[in-house]
Amino acid sequence: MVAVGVAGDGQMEVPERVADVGWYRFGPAPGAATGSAVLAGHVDDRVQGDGAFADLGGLAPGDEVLVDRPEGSVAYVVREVRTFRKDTLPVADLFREGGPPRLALVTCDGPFDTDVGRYRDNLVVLAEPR
Amino acid sequence: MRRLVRAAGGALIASAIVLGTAGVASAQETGSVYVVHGIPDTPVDVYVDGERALDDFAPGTTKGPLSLPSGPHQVAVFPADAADDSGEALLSAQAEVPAGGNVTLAAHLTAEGQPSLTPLVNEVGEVPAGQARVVVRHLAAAPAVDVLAGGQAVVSGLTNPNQEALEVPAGTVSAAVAAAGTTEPVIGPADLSLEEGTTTFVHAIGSLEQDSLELVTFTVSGGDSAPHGVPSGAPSGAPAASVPAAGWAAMSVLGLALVGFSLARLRPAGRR
Repeated sequence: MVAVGVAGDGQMEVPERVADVGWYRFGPAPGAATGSAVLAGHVDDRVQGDGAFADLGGLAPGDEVLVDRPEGSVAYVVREVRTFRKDTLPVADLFREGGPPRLALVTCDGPFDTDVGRYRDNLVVLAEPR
Repeated sequence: MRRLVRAAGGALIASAIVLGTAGVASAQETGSVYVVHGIPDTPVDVYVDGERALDDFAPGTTKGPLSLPSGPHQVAVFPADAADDSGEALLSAQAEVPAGGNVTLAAHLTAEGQPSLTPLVNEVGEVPAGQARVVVRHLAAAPAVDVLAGGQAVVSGLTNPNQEALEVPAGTVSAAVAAAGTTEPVIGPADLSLEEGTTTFVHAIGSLEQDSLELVTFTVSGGDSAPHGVPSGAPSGAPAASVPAAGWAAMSVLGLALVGFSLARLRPAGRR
């Protein structure tokens, strides 16, 4: 996993290597006492194959997510799996700095629009600390 | 002692004393006030509406934020050894604190070296995700200056008592102040740590002639905003030939290499 920031177009950076997961370094880290820790990974790519989050859609409420950190592992329980059209992704809530601690896993989903070279939707998995 | 009365059209002043009453007022009825002392060698007491609000306020320092009731306040600055506010003030001003506003009151030298009291509105609104705002203020007895970041001029020809705001990528910046049109620092270089979503106010104070130029800074947080989206599919511009419908079996076997300052895994628990 790599720490990422904001791209020139104002969107969250996502690692170029689809096997990597990006942690939004301007927001809370997994295990933080407050706010939404956001991890994003590609679903797949024609050149590189399956992405780190290719199977994110297989998660369901109740599943456990473990995030290993040097100081120990942080356990979360999936509460919600949702799909948003990219233009309606609720970014203010997704990236909130305050509020109850939460882990948000984000990848792409839905049909692929070959005209613009991107998926139509975002798949978002929200998990709370166990 | 000089007496300088400045009719404050804009924002203004501060005091700790009014904190008591500020607690009673609602958020709409107060404003946040920072105070900057930029007059060298002159510790002062600051009186607000006849009450001593700041005692022995040291040159080259800042106080705040103080929450003051909105509306006009009478501000007077006295030498720190004055017993009360019955004598002649060094500086005084009528200051307006806007409801919900954020302002700075700066005691400083003019470009010509005269003591002055200047109210400044603090721009502390949202900055784009990943960025920080820097507001540079020329409050020193010095001619026009350039502000350098990493040796390059990012603000040119700034004059006392003016300010300029910049939005820059969050991170550490090596900042310096030089005479306008030059790159030889008269202040700095000094490292400024600019956290995402914050606004840092940088005040150049003191006197060039007396070799007492320095920077006084304070930072206001809470200007965070979110990225516009998450482009997490197919960096090459095309998806994999066949997207696995639901590779859950593979995931439960391999785990999902996640996070990581090291790595992370994702596993089913209580899955139906």
